Amino acid sequence: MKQGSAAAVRPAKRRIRWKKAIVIYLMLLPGLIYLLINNYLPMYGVTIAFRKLDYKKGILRSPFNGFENFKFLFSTNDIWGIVRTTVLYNLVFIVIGTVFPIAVAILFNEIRNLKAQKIYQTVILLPYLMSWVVVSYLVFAFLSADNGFINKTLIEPMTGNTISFYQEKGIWPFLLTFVNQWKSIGFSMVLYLSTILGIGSDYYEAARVDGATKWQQIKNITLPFLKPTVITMVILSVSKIFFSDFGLFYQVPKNSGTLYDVTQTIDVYVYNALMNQNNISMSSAASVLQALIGFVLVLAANGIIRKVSREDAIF
Amino acid sequence: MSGVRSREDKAFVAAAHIVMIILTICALAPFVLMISGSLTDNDALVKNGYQFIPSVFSADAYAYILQEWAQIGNAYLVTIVVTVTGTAVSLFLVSTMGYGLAQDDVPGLNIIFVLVIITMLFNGGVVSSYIIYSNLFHIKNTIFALIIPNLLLNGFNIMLVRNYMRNSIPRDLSEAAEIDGAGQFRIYLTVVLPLSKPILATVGLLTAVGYWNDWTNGLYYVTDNTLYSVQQLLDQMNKSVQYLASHSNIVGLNQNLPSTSIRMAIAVVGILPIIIAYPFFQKYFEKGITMGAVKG
Amino acid sequence: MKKMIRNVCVAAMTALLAFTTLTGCGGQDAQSGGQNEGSGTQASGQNEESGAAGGEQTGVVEDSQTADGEWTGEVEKVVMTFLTGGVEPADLGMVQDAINEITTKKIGVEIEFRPVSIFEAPATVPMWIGGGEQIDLFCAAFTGVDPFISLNMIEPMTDLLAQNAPYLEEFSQESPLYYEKNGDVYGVRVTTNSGRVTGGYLFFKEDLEAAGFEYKDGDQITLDDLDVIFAKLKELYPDSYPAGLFGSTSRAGMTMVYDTLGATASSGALIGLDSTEVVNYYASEEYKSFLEHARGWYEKGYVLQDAATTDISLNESMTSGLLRGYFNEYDPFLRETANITYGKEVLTLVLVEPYAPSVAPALNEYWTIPVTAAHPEAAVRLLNLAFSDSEVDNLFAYGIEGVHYEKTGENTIQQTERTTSSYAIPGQMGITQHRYYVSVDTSAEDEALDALAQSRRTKGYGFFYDATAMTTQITAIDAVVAKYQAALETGSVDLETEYPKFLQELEAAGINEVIADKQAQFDAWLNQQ
Repeated sequence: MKQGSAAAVRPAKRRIRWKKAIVIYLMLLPGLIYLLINNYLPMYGVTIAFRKLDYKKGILRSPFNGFENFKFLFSTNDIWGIVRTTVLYNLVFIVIGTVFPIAVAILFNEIRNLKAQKIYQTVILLPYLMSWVVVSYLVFAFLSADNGFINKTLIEPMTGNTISFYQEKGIWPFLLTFVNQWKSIGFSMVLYLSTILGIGSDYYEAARVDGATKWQQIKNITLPFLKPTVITMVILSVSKIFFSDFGLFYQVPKNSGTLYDVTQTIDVYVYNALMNQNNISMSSAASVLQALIGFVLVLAANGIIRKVSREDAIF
Repeated sequence: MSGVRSREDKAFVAAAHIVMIILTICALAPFVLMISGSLTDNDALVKNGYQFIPSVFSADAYAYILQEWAQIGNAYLVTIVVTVTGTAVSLFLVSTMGYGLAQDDVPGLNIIFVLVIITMLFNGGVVSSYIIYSNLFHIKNTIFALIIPNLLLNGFNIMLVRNYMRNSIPRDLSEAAEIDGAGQFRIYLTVVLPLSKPILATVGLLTAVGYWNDWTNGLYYVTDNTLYSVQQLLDQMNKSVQYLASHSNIVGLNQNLPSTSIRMAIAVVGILPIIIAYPFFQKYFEKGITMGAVKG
Repeated sequence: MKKMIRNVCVAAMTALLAFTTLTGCGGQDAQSGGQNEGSGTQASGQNEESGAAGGEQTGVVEDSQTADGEWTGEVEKVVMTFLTGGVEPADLGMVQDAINEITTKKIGVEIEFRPVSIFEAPATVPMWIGGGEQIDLFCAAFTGVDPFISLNMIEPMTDLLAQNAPYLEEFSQESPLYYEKNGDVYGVRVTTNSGRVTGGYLFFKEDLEAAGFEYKDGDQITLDDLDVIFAKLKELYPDSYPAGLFGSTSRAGMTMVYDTLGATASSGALIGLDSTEVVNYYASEEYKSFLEHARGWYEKGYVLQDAATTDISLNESMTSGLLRGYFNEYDPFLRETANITYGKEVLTLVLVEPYAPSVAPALNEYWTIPVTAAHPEAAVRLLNLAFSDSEVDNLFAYGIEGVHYEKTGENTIQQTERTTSSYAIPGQMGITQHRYYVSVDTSAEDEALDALAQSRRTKGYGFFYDATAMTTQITAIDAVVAKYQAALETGSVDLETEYPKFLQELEAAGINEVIADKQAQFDAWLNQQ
């Protein structure tokens, strides 16, 4: 058996080696079955967006009603503002959420003190482990005008006034970006770190022998190795560009109406609008639309990357 | 590591420490505030707000949690079983998928990979998943309901592992093994897996945190209280509290809600175990494994 | 609802901290549609009635019953939703068993509680039903019954009630009990009362005395009087906030007589007792006046600066001294509860005398029969029994005698410690007549208030607006209300700039169209009367 497979391996590279292929297929099978059940079968549920729900007939057997469920999305004049808010935040998050964790991962990788490494890595992951509800309490603990840490210990003693942060639109775009990074850095840093750790030390050794500076090493070795991961992450973020983290945009600003101009994303709007309706057709209409536009954008982004550099495209 | 370090290197390390310390403080400060809040007398907390050192110390919140330990303890047990089993199975699935898809001489893999990617872009929504899992597979009120739906495997993790195996593991290693007569499964097990520790640790961590923090599966599929997980217990309570506190004008209804300090204590209790477990993952985030292997 | 509240409150009285927060069907309306909450009436404590009612079962029910009320037919299982604060109460199974002991014998029904968190219930229960799961009784507590009718999620109950629920049928003749639409009954109120609505402001008695006021409980005041009281209290307690405006709960409704005709304020309301004209609630003089006062209070520092967003609970705010009072119903039960909870005597000054609108929004909660009910007849039999049998009623409400409460008088009980940790449960069904009072029997006072309310019915009393055709517009209006209401009603934002924007966006969202539709339906109904 062993002999046979070894013999089969050696001949021409181009020829399909069915023996290997069969083993690979078998290895893929359990995962594929799971994806079929968990992801593909339920996709039929997308049709809910086009149905007039009738629980008596069954959700998935309700009659179709065309685009009726999509109407509510366009019944507000605000919708374009809401879309803009969602997309702008996502663009900012994509840029900062790529540059910042990579920088941190690279710096982190320079630290040789194992104990320090462990402490840093554990602590910066803490926020990732907190639920949004808890995060919203903590943000409130800092920002509250009545007894928040910032107002009580910093602003009030210095200026004699307090700032009602939850009624001040101006700071929230920055604040939400900060909170988002604060919460995700521990996780996204690890993601890039694992790629950096996979880079063979011999590359760096060789570079060092050639007298390359740290910057040059980063530029010429680390970043090129990170490129596939970065592209993957960016493309995935593009697919989610019309979605938003509900917890971040709803719970953290405490659903303060005054802030809606800068906090109301599509998901928050859908939640607020459908709170009293219980209509899953309408909410699924919204998410179908969000996913569809995201899908088109991903195809476009991937297409462009394919044109520029074929092997970097993710599919 | 190379012996002598240049001044540039030192500057770099110093900068790294400074950045990491700033980040650490940013992450730690709210956490300390949370712990301090959980140890503050509730009236003082409401009136004076959160402070880094409790203005009026009180351990009532934890006494309360202790009093409810029967339920919380059981929930911990459920969560641990689910997290460990789920992560283990998930790592098996994601690594076999990743390994398979990392090959470039097997026909049809491109199509399969696109199928994997599509799962990241579209989903049919929770209702149809629910119908399939509860009516076709009857997993309601079983431990499987907490392990299987949604969390076991996702395209993102498959992609991470596949890319890592493709880009960071030298191809000559598996080719050498093939020449030695090793079959694919053996190469996967003895060559590729050991070299994939950093990415598997990452994916394992993500999956474990995902299981630990999940409450949605419990919400949809579990009505038997012996199967409640920690997060289902805690998150649901927190949300209900928030919802009721902001929507109700009725004295008694509020009276019965866990106080602010208890909510903080609950959050602490929910996070602590995973912090304790985290160092176990960390030993896999080590440098130089790949290099050593190539040379050896 | 009042029933709910009452029981929640009751359960709460002895509680310090309870994990097992149950809010029962009660809860709060998810909508902040502008009506005050916790309205309604109180028990009139006639436990004798239940005995008589027990023997009244007739019709189909009788076929399977022996003369002494023993059930001889098959025992059927009824699965009913049970709203929790996220955690199932420890003694729920015990109470379930105790109820089953009676119901299997009397009506051949074995109940099974299906606990579900109050926050997630609106999403979860429809999913269960969509998955075909057996749910025989579903408490529609958050959004009213309409959405479920239009989704065909619940069955009409008209015939079921006629055949299986003689007591309910009779009761519904005297008191509002059913939710009817297109000539069919779709829901049975979770609790019943005369639908009394009032508005007032609750203070600590000692505060008012210290400030030199001589008000008594029940005295009439106006918003302008509140200005004066708040100013004095702020002077006296500079660290506290006398004006209890906070969170997204609307308080404006406590200051005016209005009727949203069984829907939310998003579709317009009648303002005043004699009006037959549906108008924009948010554009009314009365509403505007409230906003002006709220803004004034905020600017003078009477209101928490974070009022619109804080989620400190009312109770915490009061016991810690952060707040010095809040808008509250004028209601003997709420007063007694507050007395016990705060350990200080409170009094409520009346802003709006009791009146009876079409349906008090807080009462807008019904037991319904989902399409996936396996035993709808049994479910209706259970409702009938829970409303007619004081033993079952009190089991639902307070748990088991000797375990969860002790009787202290003929109509009064005291709850035990165990209640708060293991069965802090509000009654999920029944009528107050059959239920015990916790601590003080206030039935006489309640009856007087009910009578007063019934003499002050709005012109829309008995009419329900069907908003189905206007779903899209109401969705948009709800979103606008969510944006402005809390900030405006807590006075947190500049009225001059924000209020006109609010009104303008309401109109852009189509509120006038909805109001016209509501008016047309209402006119048609008026002509029929």
